[in-house]
Formats: sequence, structure tokens, C-alpha cells
Amino acid sequence: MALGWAIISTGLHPEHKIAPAITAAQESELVAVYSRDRSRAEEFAQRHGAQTAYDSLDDLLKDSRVDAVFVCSPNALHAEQSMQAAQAGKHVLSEKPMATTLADSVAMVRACREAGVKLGVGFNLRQHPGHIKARHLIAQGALGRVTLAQGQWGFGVRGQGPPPPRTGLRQWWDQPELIGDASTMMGTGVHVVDILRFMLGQEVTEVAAISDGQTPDQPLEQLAAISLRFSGGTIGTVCCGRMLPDSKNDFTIYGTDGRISGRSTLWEAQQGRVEMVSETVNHIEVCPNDFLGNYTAEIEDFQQAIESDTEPAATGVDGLRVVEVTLAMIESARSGRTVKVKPVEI
Amino acid sequence: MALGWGIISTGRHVDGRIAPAINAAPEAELIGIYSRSQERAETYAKKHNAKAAYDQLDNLLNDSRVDAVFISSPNSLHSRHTIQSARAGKHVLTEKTMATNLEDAIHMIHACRENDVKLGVGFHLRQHPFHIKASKLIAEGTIGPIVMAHAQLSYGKRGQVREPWRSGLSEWWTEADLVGGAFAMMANGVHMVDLLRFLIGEDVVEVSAMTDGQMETQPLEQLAQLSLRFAGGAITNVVCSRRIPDSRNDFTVYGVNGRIVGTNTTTIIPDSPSLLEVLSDSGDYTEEQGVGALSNYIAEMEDFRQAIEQDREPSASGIDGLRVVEVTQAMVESAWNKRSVRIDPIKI
Repeated sequence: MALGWAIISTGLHPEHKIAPAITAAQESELVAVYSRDRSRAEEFAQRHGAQTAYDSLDDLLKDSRVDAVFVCSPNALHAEQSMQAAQAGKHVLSEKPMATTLADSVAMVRACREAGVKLGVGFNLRQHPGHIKARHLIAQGALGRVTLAQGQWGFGVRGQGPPPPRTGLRQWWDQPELIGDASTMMGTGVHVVDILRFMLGQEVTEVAAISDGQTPDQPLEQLAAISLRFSGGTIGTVCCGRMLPDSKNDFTIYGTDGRISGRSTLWEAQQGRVEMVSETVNHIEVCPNDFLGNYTAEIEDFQQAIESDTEPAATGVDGLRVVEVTLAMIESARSGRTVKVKPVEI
Repeated sequence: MALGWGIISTGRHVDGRIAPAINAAPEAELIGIYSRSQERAETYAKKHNAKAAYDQLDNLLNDSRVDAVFISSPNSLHSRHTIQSARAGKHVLTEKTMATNLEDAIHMIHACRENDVKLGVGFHLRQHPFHIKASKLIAEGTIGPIVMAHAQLSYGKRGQVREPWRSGLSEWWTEADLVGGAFAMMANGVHMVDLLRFLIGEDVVEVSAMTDGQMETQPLEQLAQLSLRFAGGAITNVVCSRRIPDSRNDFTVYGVNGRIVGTNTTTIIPDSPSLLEVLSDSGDYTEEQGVGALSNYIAEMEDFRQAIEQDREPSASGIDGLRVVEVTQAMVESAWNKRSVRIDPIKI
């Protein structure tokens, strides 16, 4: 039977990606959508063929056709809405970043465990076939000892420099308390951190970040470079920015026996190519451009996790680990200190 | 008239690159070679067609045919050798890293100024045609104000987890005091720091380093990742390592109006052609060029000769060397103390 989905929030992300992906995914049905504003909910529902529109989250969560919710609200609201959904017995797929505080992340993981529902986080880059391939090859030892991992996701508009403040319903992106004290690190940086964790199969233990923000005058950054030390000794770098119109959104992972590099794979669309150079494997994988590819696969993976009672590709604990790293990035950018990451036991 | 060169030290760098480059450069003549060992000096002199071999530095410096010296001794000796040469009235081109501490670097600059001789530092990557082109395009504003940049120079051997520590006459590379508290940074990283300074045309104001060394159990690193903040706000990354066999030795500079990418330009051992790619509102283009193994070094010798002849600064001046020493010290301090280090450039 098809999984019944509800979307919480009606921003650009659900508009362009999540709702179309749910519609495109096998065995899934867009049942309902929630917005604070009834007419926004109704218009969104109509555009995307959802059966019902709600302006009360409680009402949505009482809809018996809804099996799972996709939480797309401003970052700081993910926790409360996820826990509410879990308590109503709905599975939860939360957009990244999972939460803006450690306490919220931990509470989300606990609430979903206690309610016996799945918790996933929207790290859709884990669905890219090139990233999955890289993870397998690295796990098999094709690169030998992995020494360095680099990833960048930036964007921008030529000639613009710092982007103008967002307006209307997107203003929360410029409000430190709603977005979580970081801008480009929250927007794309967390994706790169997670995909490096995913491909390396290692956790981040230490973080040093340098940014153009995290100061009293400019609390939110538009540009950041982050150095990571991983549990297996690999050193990593993550770069992100909103002033990089010609950003090469690539990753490269080096080992003592070779390298794997992805060209233009760190992006919304499933696209780009992944090249492996080593003693044993020399292979190029080209990925045809599919705008919804990673999102559709994410929805189907989550359904599969519910059906087979397994964990989704990116779990609540993955989300929590990235929140730990993100908080360390912010602290490091503020203080200039290299910050050790102490994983919460959960 | 050809410039008469003396070479101080007889290591691998001299054997493979510097002596052949002097011999290949126009209007350059290899006059004398100095080594602590007369026998080594003579072997090198014979191999590279130098006119004289010396085991006393004073004797090399008293040779009237020597106009300029190239200093290729261990890093911590550059300063002493430079000052001695300057006092003897010889122009000085010293290998990078210029010195292992700030005091030494400052003394070198003062000694060369006081004796009215040129002081240059061996940042030969400034001679790569694509680096020169990129730096011009950036200075002309082709890609707008610079926001981010990356430069990487790394090596390694497949299957080798770490480069074996060097032995014999190369052993100074493994002694923290002689090499200057860092290994991959001293060998490769300083080139990338200088290259970014050259391309962006600004100085570094803050350094954050993460390495696999700078700890009690392993004082010298074999892999370093540095984030550098430049005076104009650009945030940049430098990677240098001896543990990356398949390193892409490239640079990328991002401006708010485009980007410039050099592929295979930052390597010291060119094994395939360099590529330059420019994307901007003035049009996109790419260019490919093979660069000979000695090209950058030959151009470096010729630039230094012209600097003397025209009484101008060489491509990489003593001040450039000092700025990179400042960054290097900050890198070592940052990696040890686990915090970013601000640089207040010394006025000199």
C-alpha cells in the first residue's frame, strides 16, 4: 500500500523538490500539507494534488491517511514539529539541518524511538549513485589509507557579491535564532559534512572553521572554509559560500593508493561524474542530469526503511552528528579555536 | 655581460634543478660551487661545468667572478649564508623557505639593503606563464573581487602510508630545528602560500592549520591543510603533503564575477601539460601548454639577472620571503596551539 505523506511548510524547497518528488516516487501519495496560513496551504495542495490542506498541525497529525511527515519548516522549528508528529505516531523525515541545538536533536531522536517511528534527515546527497559507489570502494580499501577529503558547495550570482537579504517568508534565513547562527554552513555546508562522513565511513573529531561572519557586526557568514579531522586520521576540508557564482561543486578523496573525485555532484540535481584512479580500480561513472533524482530516491528509501523496519539512509543519529559538527564549526569560527567534537552517546 | 653564479650547497635540488637551470639560462655562468666537503664540491663542479670548487665559503665569496649566489643549504643556514654573501657584495637568491624564524629573515633583508645587493627568494612558481597570466587577469579585475581560492602541492608514492624519513645529507629535513618546525609546509606549502599571495596580490592576515603533526609524538607533519584569510577578505585553502600520490596540483581562484583554474600548474615536477581555464563576463577560454622541467627555474635565474641589471626587485623579493615566513610561523603555532593565528605584517 502506498505510504501517505504530509508536508509541513510550503516554502520553495517543498514547492520545487519535495512535493514533486513525493508525487514521482513509487508507492507514495501526497495526502496533506500544512501551513500557518490556510490559503497558502490550499494553493500548495491544489498545485501539487494533495488531498487536504491544514492550517493546524494537530489536525494534520490526526489525519489517519498520513503515515509520514516531511518537515520543511525553518530550522529552529524542526524539533518541536518532529516530536509532535512522532507523538502522533507519524514517521518523520526532517529537512537538514535536523535542529539548531544539541538538546533539540537529542530530544528528536529520543521522541521517535519512544514513539516507535522512523526518523530520517534530508541528506539527499547520500542517494547519488556516484557517492554510493565511492563509499563502497573506500570501504573495500580501494584507496588504501585515506589521507584527505575535500568537498565544496557554493553558489552565487555574478556581480552580486554578498547576496541581498531575503524577503517575505524566507526572512528566517537571515535571522540567527531561526536558522541556527550560521547561513551558508547551514544551507550547504552541512550537506558536504554529511556526505564526507558517508563516503569515508568516519566521524568528525575536530573542527577548525574560518568564515566572514560569526562576529557581533556580522553574525551570519556568506563564506566559510572548514577543516575537519576524522576518527580514522583523515583530514577534510569543507568549503561553502553564497558569493561563488562559478563554484566548482566537487569532491576529492585521496588515499595512499589513489583518489576518487566527483565533478559537480554536490548540487540539488543528481548530476556530474565520479572518477576513480587507483592501482586496482580505474573507472568513470557519468550520472545523467535528473533534477529530482536524489529527492525521489530519498522518499523511496524512507518508505523502504518503514516497510522493512530498517534505518533510513541518513538517520536521526546522522543528523545529530552533523549538528554536533555544525555547532563546533560555529564555535570555531567565533573563537578562532579548533574545537573537539564529543559525540553524545545515545 | 653574463651573470657569474656561485652555488652554496650540493644537495639534490642543486643537482637536479638549480645548476642545470643556471647552465641553461641566457647570460648566466656557473662559476663556483661550495660544499663543506671539497670532494663533493669538486664532483658537482665537474658534473655541472663550474669553474671552481670551494670548501670554504669565504673563498667562494672572494672569487671576483661571482656576482650572485644561489643558497640551497638547509633552511636554518640560509640566513647566515645570506648575510655573509651580502657583506661580500654578492647578490643573493635564496631557496625557500627564506629562514626558519622572523629575526633571521629580517636580518637578511637588512644585510642586503645595507650592502646594496639584491635579495630574492626561490618562489619559482611565480615564473609559470599561467600564474603570470592569472595574476594579471585578477589584477585587471577580470573575475571581480576575490572571495575564495585553493592551491595544492602534494606528492606521495602509492602504497606508502608515510614518506620514509630522510637520511644522510638530507637528514636535516627531519630535524625540527633545522627545517623550521614543519615539513610538508616547508617543502611544499610555502610555495602555495606565496602563489596565492602572488595571484591575489594581497597579504595573509589570519592562518588556521590542521595537520598530522605538530604534536609531541610527531613534531613534523606530512600533511597540512591551511585556511588563510587575506587582507581583502578572501578565504583560501592550501594543502601540502607527502602522502598524496595522486594529488591534483592545481589552483582555483574565485571572484564574484568568475573563476580562474590552473590544472597541473603548481607542480615542481611537470609530467603533463598545464591547463588554464578562465570563466568571466569577458568570455570563457582555456589554454594548454607544456612546461619543461626546468622552465620555471631558468626564468627565475633570468628574472634575477634582470633585476640586478635594471636595479629593480626580483619577482619574489626578500619581503615576499619574510611574509611567507610570517605565515609559516603562524601555521606552526596554529597547528600546535589549535587556534587560528592573526598576522600583523612586520613593517620593514
